[in-house]
Amino acid sequence: MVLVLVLLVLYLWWAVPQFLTLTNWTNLIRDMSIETLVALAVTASVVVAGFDVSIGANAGLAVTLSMMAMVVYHASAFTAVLVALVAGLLVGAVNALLIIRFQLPDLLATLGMLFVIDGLQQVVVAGQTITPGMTLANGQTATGIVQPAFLAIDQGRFLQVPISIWLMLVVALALWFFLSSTRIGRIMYAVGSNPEAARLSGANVAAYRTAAYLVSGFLAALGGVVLAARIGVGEQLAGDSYLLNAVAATMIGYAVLGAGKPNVFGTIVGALLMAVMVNGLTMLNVPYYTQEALLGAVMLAALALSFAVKSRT
Amino acid sequence: MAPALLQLRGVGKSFSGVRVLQGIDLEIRPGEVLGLCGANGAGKSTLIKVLTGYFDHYEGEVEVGGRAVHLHTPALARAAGVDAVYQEVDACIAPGLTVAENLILNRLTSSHYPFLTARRRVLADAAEVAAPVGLRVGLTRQAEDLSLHEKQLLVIARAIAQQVRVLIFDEPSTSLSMRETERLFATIRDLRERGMGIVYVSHRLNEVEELCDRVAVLRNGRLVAQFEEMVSTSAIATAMLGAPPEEEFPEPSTSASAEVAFEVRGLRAGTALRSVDLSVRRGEIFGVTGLVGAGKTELLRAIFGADPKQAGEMRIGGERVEVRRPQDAVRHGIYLVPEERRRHGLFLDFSASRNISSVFLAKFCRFGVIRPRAERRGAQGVIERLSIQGNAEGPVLRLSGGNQQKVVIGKWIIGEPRVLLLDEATQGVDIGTRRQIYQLVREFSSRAAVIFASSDIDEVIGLADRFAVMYEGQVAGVFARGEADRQSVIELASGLRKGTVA
Repeated sequence: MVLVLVLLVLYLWWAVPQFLTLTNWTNLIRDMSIETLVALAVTASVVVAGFDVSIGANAGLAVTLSMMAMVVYHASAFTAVLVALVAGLLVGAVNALLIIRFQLPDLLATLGMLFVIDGLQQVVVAGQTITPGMTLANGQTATGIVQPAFLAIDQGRFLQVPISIWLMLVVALALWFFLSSTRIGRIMYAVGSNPEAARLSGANVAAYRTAAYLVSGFLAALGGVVLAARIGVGEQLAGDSYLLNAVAATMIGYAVLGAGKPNVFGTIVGALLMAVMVNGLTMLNVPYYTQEALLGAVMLAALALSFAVKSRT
Repeated sequence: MAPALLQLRGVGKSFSGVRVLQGIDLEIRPGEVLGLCGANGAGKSTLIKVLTGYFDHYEGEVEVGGRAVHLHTPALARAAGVDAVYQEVDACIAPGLTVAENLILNRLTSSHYPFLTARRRVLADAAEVAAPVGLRVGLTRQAEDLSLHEKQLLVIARAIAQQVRVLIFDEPSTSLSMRETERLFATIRDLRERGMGIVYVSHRLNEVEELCDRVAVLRNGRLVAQFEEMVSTSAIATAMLGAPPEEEFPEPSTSASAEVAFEVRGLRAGTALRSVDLSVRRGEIFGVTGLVGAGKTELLRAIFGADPKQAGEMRIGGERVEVRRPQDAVRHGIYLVPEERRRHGLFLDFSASRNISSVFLAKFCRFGVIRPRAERRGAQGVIERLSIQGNAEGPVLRLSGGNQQKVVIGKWIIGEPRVLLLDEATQGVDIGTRRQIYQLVREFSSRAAVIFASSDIDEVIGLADRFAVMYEGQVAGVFARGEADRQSVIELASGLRKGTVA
């Protein structure tokens, strides 16, 4: 799979010389940062054999809440971020409650949460996009502004590199280390591999699964914060479109380096692959409506190649 | 002598350069039960797969009645009259369908069967198929609800209806009760009378001795012995191992004292376990035997906290311990080697090494971070101590059954067991590994209270210093070594006799 990515980059470089410029790649990776954070959220839940599809809605919730906090309640950037992250954790906690305590299947529980979150958000602001000066449900006008410090999360730079890229790198590194080298990470993989065997080895399976959903909720909310900083307005459903790509990136991750299981490096390669394709196809002037089909085709081809090679060895 | 049903000449198979089977010359004759024995990894399942058309390529020739056949697909094998009843019978049963539909599955899937199947026609056809084996279950029942034994009969009936001539049984008696095993043997003998050629593959040498007319022994992929008439189990074992079998069970304990190391009072769990008391003395191996369903597994799981219990007290060395979940058990030093190693004992996609370190991973960590070298060294130590063969870093799935079982036991060794519970620890394990496990259990008995549960009565009688016989969720009797003969144990286990607890 890594080979596919390298070949793709080489091809695009040959076809469109501007592809391999610093500007283009900075934009590419900056675009990718939100998607990567959300994809890592999915990865976290899949490690314990769960499946969190509420992550897109969760990111949208983070957008709504952080914007509302600043525009309606005059909160500082820091408070806005905090509110969003806490909400993300709460979503994770509710998911965990539904799945572990009430034993709902993972996919169905998080799917239900997706609808609930999307629906509730829209009720709160009567379906509007949150912007400074908007009219609230009670007739008043919102007098707060979107704090510059908040926008800096995506638009600011540190050592010439956008902060959102730093954020993505730090989170990816931390999660990678956590899953591959710590005891808790290893047990999470064990829970994902065989929950009953993990239980019979004395592991508190419920605790580990809960932790996974909390991590997932947190990372999705973090992605939402970066998204809010990027678009600058509180568009509630902005996060929904990230769901499919996040799942795709995680699944591609299975095929990277013959992992055969969810892994951080693989997810990043998956997200990068899709980002490179979108960027490259745009530069090749492929109309946007054809891009998705090509994306799917390349993804399937890459997966087939990787899995076919694996089964032959 | 009647002409052979199946003639194998120079049959062999290798996988990516690894040779698994070589130069097999074998005859399967009508009206005969041929026993096939061999240690784990000797090539038995590969040979069965060749005969049932699992591989699209193998070396050598197979002939049916003098005519060469190419067993390259399961359909071709069935056309040649070869079929098998596998240990995992569920794999041959379509779960969503009824018994009747399963019985005539091959007809239902052929194009000759009418598109709109009248229910009456299906039932009538199915009854016809079921008759020869005497399968007496409701034909409209869901096939997956049948007992293991009934499912076996279903598969046999289906094979007969398809004019099978060579029927291979792969470890069929593993999960059967004694009565069911007897009925299976009766069915097999009946098939033999009809002129079928039966191949009976089993680790249980006493069964092979009882049932088979001839025995072939595989070792390291070759046919090392073919006995033209029944021989003793030790002769078979010698051929399997390549050396005369030593004393099967380790020396009885000399250090057993009367001091109670572990005791259970009034343990009750669900409907399967009805008030059990037992005590294990220091230094002894305590056995638990009984038929399938007697409650042995439920007893061990209740002690371990794997299943909720309604009542019961446990004491280790006189000190009361509360166990509500497996975590509590492990904390108190109570460890369980579960009955189903693949489903409950192993992380199949982890390496053997990582399986071994999985429980006490904290020992190889500093501040929650795993130290890979320490982990590998720890696992390697266990691997050497237990002589685990196979690639330790590859997926544990690839190891043989016996080695997988050693991995399951190995992961507990790193801890400090005070009570070690073993449930059917030697099931599907070859003789050599079985002996190693017995030796290990004996070593552990000096440090921990060992409870060894097995439905193999001879195993418990030979290994345990004292043992309990269970029947329908209760202890029917407790005996010390030498106090009870096989017959009385069987009677107690079958409820034919009421015993008094020693």
